Amino acid sequence: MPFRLSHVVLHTGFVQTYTVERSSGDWVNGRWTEDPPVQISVAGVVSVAQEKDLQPLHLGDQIKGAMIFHSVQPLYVTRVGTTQGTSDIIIWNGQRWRLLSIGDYSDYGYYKAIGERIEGC
Amino acid sequence: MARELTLTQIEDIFQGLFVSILGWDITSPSKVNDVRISWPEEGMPAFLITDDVVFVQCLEVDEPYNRQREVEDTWTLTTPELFGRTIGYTRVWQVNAILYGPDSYQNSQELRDKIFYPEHQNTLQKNYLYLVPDVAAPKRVPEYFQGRWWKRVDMSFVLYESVVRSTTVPAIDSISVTIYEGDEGNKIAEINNE
Repeated sequence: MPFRLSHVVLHTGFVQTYTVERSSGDWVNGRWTEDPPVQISVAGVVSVAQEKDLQPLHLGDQIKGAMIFHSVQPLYVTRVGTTQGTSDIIIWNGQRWRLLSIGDYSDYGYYKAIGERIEGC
Repeated sequence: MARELTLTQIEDIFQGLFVSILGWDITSPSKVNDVRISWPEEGMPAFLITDDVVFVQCLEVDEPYNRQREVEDTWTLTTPELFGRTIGYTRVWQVNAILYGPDSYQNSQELRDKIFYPEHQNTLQKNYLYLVPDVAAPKRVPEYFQGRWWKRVDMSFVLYESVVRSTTVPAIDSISVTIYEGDEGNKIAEINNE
């Protein structure tokens, strides 16, 4: 049996609490209409994937950035089938991050997700 | 009488039209939402390689008839203070249909042929949309994704929309005239006409 790393993800010296907004919805005449998202409190290690970069554009100064979120609970990107929905959004440090990729390390007791900053500026 | 389709309205018209042409509203109501509007702000769930799905994209395009539009300007006094002004012209739309799925090619043939049926032409004309009958052949453009070739067919329709916009223009309700003598002379008359 693989060595479990969930205790590292939940280690009191590293762990933070963040909120996961999980959306589902329905199709209405070809348009995806989201229901109000369910908010889930999740604990795990948060680290930087891509530092905040300033992009001076013709439409104003914009900031790009990405964070890594570890969790012992499953996180999701776009889902098809009976529980359709778009990617989880994580609220951390007062900002919103849309999950772009999920690493399923559940055999080792955790999930690793990369979220892109969606505030824009 | 203003008439001008919003982007949402024209997307909705073609969503319903394509569903109707493909017969999905009657034969398989569960597929009514498999004609989907592209580019939702927050994204949308994907589909499977086994799903027949059509994406609708509506874009205004530049062409000589659109650029050199004819402006019709008529004036009607609607109230004592306002004139009504209507401007009419033709707007040109390109409506893309991006078809995926095992039957995507066959579905493109259905769209291409049946859009000319009177019932579907009536749907367009009720919304002041007129199809340019020179419809280009659908293009087969299979897409490689995650180790498999997904069947895909692209096609477009061009339509003219008769647009009438209404605005109001303030009328001159009253004038006052003051007459002076010479360049900097004394005021010699004042007329207030209300």
